[in-house]
Order: sequence, then structure tokens, then C-alpha cells
Amino acid sequence: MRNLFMLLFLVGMISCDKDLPPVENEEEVITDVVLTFEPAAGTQATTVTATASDPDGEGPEPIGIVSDITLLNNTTYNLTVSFKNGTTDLTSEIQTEGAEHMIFYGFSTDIFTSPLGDGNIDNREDAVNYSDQDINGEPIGLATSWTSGAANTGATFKLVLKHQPSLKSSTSTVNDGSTDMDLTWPLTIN
Amino acid sequence: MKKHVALNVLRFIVTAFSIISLTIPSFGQVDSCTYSLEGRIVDMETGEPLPFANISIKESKIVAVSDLNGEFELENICNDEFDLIVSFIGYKTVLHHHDIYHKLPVIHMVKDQVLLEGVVIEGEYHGEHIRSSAIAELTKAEIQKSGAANLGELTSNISGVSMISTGQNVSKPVIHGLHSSRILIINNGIRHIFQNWGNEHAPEIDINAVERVEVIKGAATVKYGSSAMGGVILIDGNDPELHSDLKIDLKSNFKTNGKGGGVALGVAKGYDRLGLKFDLGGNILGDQQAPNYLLTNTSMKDLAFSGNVLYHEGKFQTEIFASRFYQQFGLLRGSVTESLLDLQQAMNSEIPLYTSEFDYIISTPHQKIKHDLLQVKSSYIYKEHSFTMNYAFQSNHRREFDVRRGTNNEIPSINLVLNSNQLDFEWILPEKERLESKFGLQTTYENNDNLPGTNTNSFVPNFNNFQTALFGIETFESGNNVFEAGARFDWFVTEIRGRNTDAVSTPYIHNYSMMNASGTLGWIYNTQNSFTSRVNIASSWRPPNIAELYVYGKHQSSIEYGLMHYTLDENNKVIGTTLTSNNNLDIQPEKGLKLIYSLEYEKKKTQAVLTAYLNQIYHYLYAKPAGITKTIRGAFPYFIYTRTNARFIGADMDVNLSQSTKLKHKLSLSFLYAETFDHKPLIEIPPPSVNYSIDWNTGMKPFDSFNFAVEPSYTFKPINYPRIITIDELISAETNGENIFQNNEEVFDIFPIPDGYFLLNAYARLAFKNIFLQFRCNNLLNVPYRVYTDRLRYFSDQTGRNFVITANIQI
Repeated sequence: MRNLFMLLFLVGMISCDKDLPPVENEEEVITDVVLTFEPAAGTQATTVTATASDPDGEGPEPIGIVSDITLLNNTTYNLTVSFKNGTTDLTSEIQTEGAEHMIFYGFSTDIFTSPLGDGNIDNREDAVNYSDQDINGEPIGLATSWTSGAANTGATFKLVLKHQPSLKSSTSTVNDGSTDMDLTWPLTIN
Repeated sequence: MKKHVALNVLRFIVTAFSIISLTIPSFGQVDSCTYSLEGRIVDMETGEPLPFANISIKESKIVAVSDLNGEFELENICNDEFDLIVSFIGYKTVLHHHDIYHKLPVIHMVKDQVLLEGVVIEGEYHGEHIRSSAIAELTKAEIQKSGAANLGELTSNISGVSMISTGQNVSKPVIHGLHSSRILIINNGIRHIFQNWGNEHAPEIDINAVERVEVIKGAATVKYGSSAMGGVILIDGNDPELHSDLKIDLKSNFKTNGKGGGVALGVAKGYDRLGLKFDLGGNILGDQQAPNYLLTNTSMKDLAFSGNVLYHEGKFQTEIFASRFYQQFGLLRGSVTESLLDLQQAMNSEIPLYTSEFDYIISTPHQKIKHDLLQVKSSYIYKEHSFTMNYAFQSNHRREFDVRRGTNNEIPSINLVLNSNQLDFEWILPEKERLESKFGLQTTYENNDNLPGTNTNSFVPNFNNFQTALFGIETFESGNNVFEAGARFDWFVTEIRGRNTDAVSTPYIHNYSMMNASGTLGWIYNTQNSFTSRVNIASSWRPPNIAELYVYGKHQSSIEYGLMHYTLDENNKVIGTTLTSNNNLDIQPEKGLKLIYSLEYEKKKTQAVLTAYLNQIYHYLYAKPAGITKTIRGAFPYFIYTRTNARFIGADMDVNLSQSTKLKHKLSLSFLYAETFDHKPLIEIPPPSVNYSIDWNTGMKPFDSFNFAVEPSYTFKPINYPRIITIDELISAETNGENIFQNNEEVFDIFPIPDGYFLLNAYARLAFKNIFLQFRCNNLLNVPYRVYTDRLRYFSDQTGRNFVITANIQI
């Protein structure tokens, strides 16, 4: 009897180990967003990048919009968006799961000559020039094209990335699904 | 002449020896026939005492008859072990192998025709409590009638006990406003060790195996352990019985709401020295239904099995119990929000987002939990002293799945294994001049590990806890008074191993320990005219749990920082800290002091209990709002764990009235007012409620019993609830860069507090030979309502009308 108890106690104790929790590839939290505006060929404009960074992740420090977006007037740019957690790139994941993701764009009214209007955050039907699409033919938004209008200051440029599993369609809006990114940059056109 | 003298001398010697042997107590032989046994006989279904029942000891002439209070005393018992026979006309005779060291047995008898069997509950050893504290119990009949789906729902049938939930499938019991790591759940004499820190972590208890529930409403830390600040819930299955025929118990239930149900099979047999019992059961349920819409992704399924072997030989008894409980269930899909605006969207929706067609499929978000238990309990009686050893090994594996991108949707975000060992020793001394003494040593060792492969930072760190305690309880009887005093000394030591959420996952190791002494004093006074009053004051303590100290980041719709993970700068601004290894931490435990008074009245037709209490908790840990931060997803309020002093004042009342043999009334009231010492509100405090039931026994033939009952209840709007700050106000404060919590750090809510609501339940039950059938309807009026202590009240109503059909058969 006594031996049985000792054995059971030892069995119970063996299950203890003194390890640290495992190091994980953090794939949930986006800490950096980079917008890269590449001018179309044959202009004098240079590539513009704008970032938003939340280095402490879910810590109390708010994100920093690291730089304003400053574009040259009347120039066409191709915009690509990338997402990171630290050094881990998360963009390809979103690309692969394109059928579940969509980036919506909002901007000050008619600040661009193409697309006109104020973007599809308030109304899905409003124009945005998507250059990519998912397997269902719906836009994803990682690649878009923009033609700036006349010089302007005090404008804004907003992106909302939505995760819409089983919800994304030709009519799904910014209110469908859950928000993975919701950021606004100050925009200046020189 | 010589022969005559020799004969006289011989006669004298024989006489002298006889006289001597009668006066000197014989060694090696137990005191001759001076044992006595006191006990009580009650009706199992009503709980009422049974006077004039016959109690006898098999193969002896010792008999007794129970008095008007159902109490009896058997005297001049020769052996310390015997078979007790209890009989009463119209009721099933109870045969029970008993020993005098199990004091104050309560024998529950059932009528001849009823399905249930009579049960003997041995008061002292198993689940014996500090008697001066208010104790409430649910009888087996009440458990059978309740149709509860889980422990939280079951115990909320007791006044003063309610529940805190995260949707339909997650419920945790709340005793006098305290829950989670502030109450203890004791299952079969074992502390149920699980991830008790989260509101959405329900205890993994198989509801089918619960035959008896007792709730100790006082702070019972001295006898049961740290964390019993609010009280203790004692759950028991039936022990295997010796000398009993093969019994097969088949239980089944079917629910219309969720279109599911379950079955459970129990087999028990008792031999001379061996008792065996095996149970197996499972439940399945599809999406549940609120009155106006379906609650998508609220399906669940579970499976439980257990085996119990009892060996009894003279003064020695040992019991081995093993069980496994496995459960998987979904949480309302429409409750998943990743940003404040998402949350606002979801809260403003009439119908929860993502509502779709009925199915049984469990998708994200969902939980998978598995709880294994192996227990060995032995007791030995030596010269009227009783020694008990209770060992248990538990393994709790919890996986929580959130809605995630791509293949990560199949991978848990939280994957924790908590293994624990507990070893308890208890020594009960024989009663000496009305003084009873009990001493114990309790030791627990826990190990918590995060399993790899979640692809997200661990939410809580790994840890090892070791806790050991020594306690003593003295009970002294004097006339109509019983006095109790107890003291306990605890030592707690822990090592925490975690990783920060920085780019390189910087590890940290923390060590700390704490010691605590606690005590209890109580007094029971029995008047001659049916009143009993009990008063108890007890101190309690609780080491902070892992989440209160170490969480960092977003969980569901809020961001929280544990006590260790932030500091305040000179402007009282919150700075997140990167944890580094430290062996010199000084962590303070919570300390509580609970005063509880209860007055009981018991006469022929009426039983009433009134309980009033005051519980003060010092260094009470809670999460208060400290600011709004903006992450990539948007703005979020964040909460920091901090300390305050809290006060809980309340009263419960239960009245049972038998108007006639056919009509029985029951009324329960619960009231609780909670605040911090500076009169600020606390969150999630259960609102006052009133429950009433009326049960009518039709006496209709050919059924053995055919009853109808109606159970109306009213839950009031919460009192002293937190202020409301809307999401718009939070977002505009963040946009304007203002810290709206700077001048007021009181807790807040973002959703209006639900109004009071009226609910009506009803049931019809009948028993016929060995079959029991119940047809119950919950929320008969299909009322849409929201429960203040359910976190998912932001998103949906509670379930609507539900017909629960129960069919039990015993072979």
C-alpha cells in the first residue's frame, strides 16, 4: 500500500518540468504598416513611403504615424501596403487569404483625380482603383493606383483592413467582419 | 474438615476474581457495549424529518425510534461496526454498514414507489464543515428536478448563489458576489484545480455525476484552503455501497432549444468488502435559440466517464476514483470583435452579426477542455482516532480557439496544461468531555505549461506552485450551545517563467513566497422552540492569480496589464514594463474577513433560513480603466490591475412551507450590495432576485407521484452599477488626446445595464415503479432578456423557451 502511494506521488511529480513558455511566431498582432507609393514611369516624382508603427504591440504606448504622406500633384502612383510584426512579414498571409480580406480606402473628397470622391469606406460602391483581386474576382487592396490632383494641405488618407471569413462578397462593406487595421495618415499634395 | 475449608477458599477466590474482573476494564477488548450513535432521519424528497422511524442494529436487540425532529440515539452498542437498519412504513428500508466513528449520520429515506434509493450521509468525515457557518444544500430530488446543464446553473438554485457567464455554455458559480479564484470547488473531497482565473473558464465538472451539492457561505479557508474567501461548493457523487445488488441507472434528457440531449449510464455493485461504481455519459447540443434569433455557434458536446472502487476491511477503508471529462463548445460567433468600432457595430445590431442557419458544427471561437482526475483516499481508525489520507492527481488541458487568419483558425491561441498533485492528511480525535478536535495537513503542487504551436505570444506564463498548510479545529458543546474555533497556517511558494511580447521574446523568471495565518470563531445556539442561530467570523486569504499579475495585451475586447507588467511615472501615466528575472519580489495576498449570521426555523410544516453577511476584502485585486491606447486596429481602453478594499453586504432568505400534503411552497430571496471602501461601485455584482415555486401533488393513480409545479422568478435591475461611457466618448477622447480617466478611475461599462426581468418556468413530473419522467419548460413565456453578469449580454439575448424532457430508469 505504502509503495503504491509513493509511486503515484512520483508519477504526479514527474509531470513537472521547469521550462520557459515556447517562443512563438507572433502572427496575430500587426505592429508595422508600410505604405509605398511608387510613381508611374516617366515622371519626376520619387517613391514615397509612410509608416505606422506600434512597437510595444498591445502596450500602452499609442502607435506613431511615422511620416505624413506627401505626394506630387497630378502624378499617378501605385500603392502597395505591407504588414509586419517586428521582422515577420504578414503581408503574404493576407495575400494568400485574399478571399477573406479587403482593404477599404477613405480620403478627403476629390483630392485625387482618380479615383474621384471620398473612397469606399462610407459606401462600397464609391470608386477605388484596386489593382489586385482574390480568387473570386473581388479586390483585396494590397495594390491600388492613385492619381493626385492639385496641391492641397490638411487632407487625410485612411485605410481599414477587414477580415471577412465567409462574408466577403461584391457587396460586403467596411462594417462586415472584424477590423485588423484602422489607420489615418495626414496627406499633403505639393 | 479440610475439604470444607478448601472449598470455601476456592469459592472465595472465584468470587474475588469475578468481582475484580468486573471492575477492571479488560485490555485488548473494546469497551464493553458503551458505544452510542446519534443521527437523523429525513424524507429525501422534501427534507422534512421523519418521526417514529425504526432504527435497529442487525443481529442485536438495540433499537431506537426517531423523535419529532427525526432524531434518534442508539445506546449500549457493543461493536464499533455494524449494519444499521432503518425502516418506516411506506418507505424503502435502508440497510447501511456503519461504524461509530462516522458521527451524526443523516439518513434520507424515499417512499416505496419512488425511483430513488435511500441514502445515508455520514456527517463528519466526508465534507464535514465548520458547522457555525451558513450551509445550504441541494437534495438529490432538487438536483433531479432542476434540469441544469452545468454546475453554474445548478448551484444558482440556492439563495445567495448566482452565476457569471460568457454565453450559454460557460457558467461559473458566484457565492455572495465572489467567484473564480475567490471560491473553492471541492469535487469528491478534492480541490478542483483548473484555470480558475478567467470569467470564461468554467469548472470542468460532469453534471450527471453530481448527486449532492452543499454550499458553505462563510469564508471556509481554515478547513479547505486559501481562495475560499467567498465560500466553498462541495460536490459529491454517491460513494459505492457495500452489500448491495447490481444497480443500473440510465438517465437521459432531451432539449428542444438546441435540439440536443444526453444519456448517462451508471452501474454499481457492492460486495462484502468491495464496492464498485462506474459511470459513463455524454451530451450534445446544436445552436441554441433566443426568442427572436438563433445564437450561431453555441453548440456543444461533452463526454465523461468515471470509475470508483471502495475497499473496506474492519477499521480500514480505501477508495480509488478516476475520471475523465472532455468538453468542446462554441461561443457566440457574433461576439467576436477586434476593435472598438467593431464592438459598437456588434452592440448596435438587433440581430447578432454572423447569424446563420442552425447546425451542430462548432467553429471558432470555441474551447476544448479535458480534465483528468485520479484520487486515492484511505482512512484508518486506531483506538477511536481517525486518520485519513487523501491524494489526488489532476490534469487540466485547456485550448481556446479564436477567429484567426487562414490555417491559424485551426490552431489554439491559448494552449495550457495544468497538472496538480494534492495530498491531505486529517486526524480526528475521539470526543472527550464534549470537546471534538480535528487537525490536518494539506499540500498542493501545481505545474502550468504553455504548449507550443499557437503562433501567438503566450497569454499567461508557465509556473510552479507549492502550497502547504496546517490547521486545527476545536468544537465544544455545552447545553444548547456549540462553540467552534479554528486556526490555519499556510505557506505558499511559486516560480513563474514567462516571456515578454517584445521582438526577441525576452524571458523572465520570478520567485516569491508568502505565509499566512487565518482563523475562525463560531457559535451555534439551539433554542427549544425550533430556532437555531449560527454566527461565524472567519479570516481568509488568497495569493493573486497568474492573470492578475502577468497578463499583457488584448483579450477579447479589452486590453489589460497585470500588476507586474506596468509602472506609473511621476505624472501617473502608465508605462508598460519589460519583465526581468527577479528573486526578491514582495507580492501581497488578498485578505478577507467574513462575518455571517444565520437564523433557522424548523417546525412541522415550515422551514426557514435567514442569512446575513458582511465580507471585507483588503488588497482586493481588480482591473480599473487607466487610459485609451491606439493600436494598429484602432483605439482601445486599457485596464490595469490594481488594489482597493472592497466590502460585500447582503442577505439571503429561504422559506419552505407545506401547506398540505399536496401543496408545497418555496420562496427564496437574494440581496447583495458591494462597493469599495470609498463607496465606488464594483463590476459584475449579481443583482437582487426573488424566486418562488409552488408544487402540487395530484395524487393521481396509477402513478406513484404526479406533480405539477410553477416557478416564477424576478431578477431586479442591478444596484450600485458602474457609470456608462459610450464608445463614441472613448474614441473622441483618444482623438483629442485627452485622458478621460485622469480624474475618475472608477470602473465603467460601455453598454446600458439591463432592466429587471420576470421569468416563468414550469414542470410536470411523474414516477411510476422504477421510471421517472419530467417535462420541464424553462422561460415558458419566451421572454427576451439579458443577464447583467453575462459578458455576452452586449451581443445577444439569453435563450428563449426550452422544453427539457428527462427520463430516468433504474434496474
